[in-house]
Amino acid sequence: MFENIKKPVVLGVAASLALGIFAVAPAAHADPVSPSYVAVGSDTLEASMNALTNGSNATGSTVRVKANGSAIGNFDAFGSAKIQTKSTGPFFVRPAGSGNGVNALIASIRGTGFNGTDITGQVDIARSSSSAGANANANGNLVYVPYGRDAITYVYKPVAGHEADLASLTTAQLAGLYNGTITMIGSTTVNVMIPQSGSGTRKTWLADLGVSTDGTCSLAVCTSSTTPENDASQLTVAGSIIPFATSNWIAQANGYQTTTITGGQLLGTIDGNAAATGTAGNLVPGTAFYGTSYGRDTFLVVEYARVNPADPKYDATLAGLVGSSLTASLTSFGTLPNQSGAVKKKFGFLAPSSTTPVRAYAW
Amino acid sequence: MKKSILRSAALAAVGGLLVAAVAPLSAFAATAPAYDTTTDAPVHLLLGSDLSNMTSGTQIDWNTLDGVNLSPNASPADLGDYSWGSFAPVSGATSWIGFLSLPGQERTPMSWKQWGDFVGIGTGVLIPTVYPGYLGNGAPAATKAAGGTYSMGIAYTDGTAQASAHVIKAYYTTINVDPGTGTWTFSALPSVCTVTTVDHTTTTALAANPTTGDVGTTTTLTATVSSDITVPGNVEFYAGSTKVSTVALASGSATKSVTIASQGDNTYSAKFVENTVVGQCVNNAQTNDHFVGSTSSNLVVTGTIPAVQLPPNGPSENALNSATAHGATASYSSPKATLTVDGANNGTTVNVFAYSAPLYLGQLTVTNGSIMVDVSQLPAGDHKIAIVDPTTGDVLAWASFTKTDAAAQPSFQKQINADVANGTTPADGEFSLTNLSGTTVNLTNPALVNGASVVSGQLGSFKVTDLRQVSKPGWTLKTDVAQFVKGSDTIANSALGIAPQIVAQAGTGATAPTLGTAQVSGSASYPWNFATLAAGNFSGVSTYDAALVFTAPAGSPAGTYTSTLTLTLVSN
Repeated sequence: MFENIKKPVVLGVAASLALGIFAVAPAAHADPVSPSYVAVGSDTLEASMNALTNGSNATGSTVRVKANGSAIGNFDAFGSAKIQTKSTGPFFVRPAGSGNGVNALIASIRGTGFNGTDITGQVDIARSSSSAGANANANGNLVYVPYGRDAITYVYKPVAGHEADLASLTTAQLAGLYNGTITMIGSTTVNVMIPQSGSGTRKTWLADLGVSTDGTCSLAVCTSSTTPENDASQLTVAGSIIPFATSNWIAQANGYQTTTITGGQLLGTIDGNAAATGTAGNLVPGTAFYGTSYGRDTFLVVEYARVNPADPKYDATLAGLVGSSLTASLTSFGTLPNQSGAVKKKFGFLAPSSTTPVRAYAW
Repeated sequence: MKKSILRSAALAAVGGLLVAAVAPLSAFAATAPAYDTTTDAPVHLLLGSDLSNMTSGTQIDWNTLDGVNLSPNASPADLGDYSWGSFAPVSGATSWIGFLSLPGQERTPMSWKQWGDFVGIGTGVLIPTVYPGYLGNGAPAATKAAGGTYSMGIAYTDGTAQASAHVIKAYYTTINVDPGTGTWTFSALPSVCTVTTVDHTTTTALAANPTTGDVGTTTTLTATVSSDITVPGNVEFYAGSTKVSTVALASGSATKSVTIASQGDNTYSAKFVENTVVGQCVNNAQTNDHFVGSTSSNLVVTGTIPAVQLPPNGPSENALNSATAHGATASYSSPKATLTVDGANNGTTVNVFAYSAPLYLGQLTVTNGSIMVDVSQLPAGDHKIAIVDPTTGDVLAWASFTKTDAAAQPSFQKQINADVANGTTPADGEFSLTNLSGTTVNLTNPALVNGASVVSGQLGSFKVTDLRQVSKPGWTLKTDVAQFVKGSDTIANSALGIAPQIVAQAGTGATAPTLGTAQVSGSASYPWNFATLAAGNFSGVSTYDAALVFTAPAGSPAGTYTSTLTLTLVSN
């Protein structure tokens, strides 16, 4: 299913970069080779970043963020095992997820190798659905620039005749389901599901519920799961439940991303706060829910020296791409139809709770 | 700690802007180019950060971090649903693309200097992002280094292959790029005004002063045009159905002096001519004031014929004898004679006559033993003056005196000012005379007729009073015209044609004088007799006017020429 979800977006990039701007997207299968900057990492930010870097008409206006007129290469979290991000650069293991993305960025800066490959200069931006957390450091070599606010909720597949059982749950009920103390809600025997172990969504979800902070849990599914995140089609059994990025659900329901909502799956409500409001096609984030502890700011991570005007490595173009106050940037949350923020809202993101960049990872 | 990080990040953004913005302003500011009318529609440039309208002449970074968006319309204060910002779909066009080209090559994709990406048009193209640093395909570095004048905009195409796509429509503006820095600015749109016309109904009222007057005299017509605001424009004055004159309104009113032409009702009206005052274009809006025409109701001025009182009969000269002299004495001091009589006559009203043939000099009252009377119309020589009882005709006293100067000849002068148009190709019983009109005649608004400047007008009315019913010597009204002068330029008096007109003739038993043959403009000859009255007649009161035509000889310099016309009434 990943192929179905991700490939079409990647293809658009590939066509424009490899064949020249006047080419119609052909049925080629290739990842982009970027003439400018490269972003890797989180699956959660992937769809909206693809929209911004490849161009999107979601707001009615064509919005495409460029680097001095050049296309930005945004690499999906999943796909072929290896990627080549820049011409003449090496093929290296595809960074899958937030943590992998940040690690690849560090390897690109420090030349320390990524999964055994020297990728110096091959990665410029890491997508991260997690904050710097414990890695925050006032003298850090990286800087986390807020990108938008997402929220994690759950998606369920109801049992016929008992549709209301899983529609609205409390944090206590969800915690009981994921630590194994609860197996039934109402008349529904719950089939608890969770994304694969590297998923940022899984990690955050378990932490939000107070089950664990490292992504471990005592359920058998937690050790065996290979389930991709944000894929509703994985819920084939009635009574199933799985954590899900609300932004991703909204983007799929609104038609800006290939939908996986193919089998009657529904978005759950936690503690009485709806994660999204409106109807499919015009879903918007539930502001109250995004403001709870289930909400999370997401980030683009870059090397601090390259956006610090006082540093010899300063790169005005990269600084422009992640300058929150600049309307033409990736991190802008301007609401006009020509601005990135309006696109991100269509993809289920609200403005981050803070626009303050956070430095992290000192070495 | 987070605070300090925020500042650093903000600096990163601001620093990038400053580097590009400051340099060009110092020495390399790009100048705004002229507007290119070959675009299929005007293009407005909007600041990407807030979609505000950018101003021509603004220095913009090559790779402005705010972004620049194009729009078919200026952005309104209330952005609303952004429908104002959409370039509409066009039949046959399937894709659009941003481009930058040399002027004249906007519709030749293979000649473009820079371009963006082909995008489907769909329901339109909403505020597309287009600026030089954003158009990454082609040779942006070369354009930036070379600078110069370019067209920048979007093209609607029928395909997405550069080599074969045809440009269906191209919407662009002209930009000037500063060499090296790439700083650029764009041309100002021509002023486009939305015109609103406001109708103002008007009312025209007409008044005359006086409303009754002798035929040949003048009355002043005043037209007042009112509306919700002060009315500008012209008023046409009509006498009956004949347009008399067109006069510009001043503070809503216009006046015209007209000659009362006939006895009885003289009907006048005034018509305000429909007028539109075109307003100025301010903030793309223009208001024109349309003043609707209106006509006054008819106004009647009553023309009267002056009453003519013929002189009373006087005793014959043989009644003046020693018995009727009553010790009176007479003396003459030009132009008056004084008859000194017995103080017993003081307070007595008497008729005064001069002899040989009795000439009525008027009715006076004896005061301080004398009467004094104007005798200027008597010829030089010996005369008698007598006072007569008005009722009985008895001579109360008389005496002789000698008049030392000749009879006065009534005369007046008028200055005639005649305009010459630009562009003429060689071309160009009292026995009295009273002027009833002004002292100046202005012949204005000349027309070109067969290349010559021709202007016409009226002399203005005057009257001859001849009540000499006993002697009936007759008279001649002589006319002379000086040459016309403008500085050192002169025009011969032959240029002035005069056609005598009789306005009114009154007096029981009076004989109408004979009008002179009209003098034809261009071949006129002066002196010339306006009118004559043969001996054996008296003419009563005759009111005259004359039509004037002034034809400037070919080659006369334009301007106003001045001459003097002199009318002199000479008794036979």
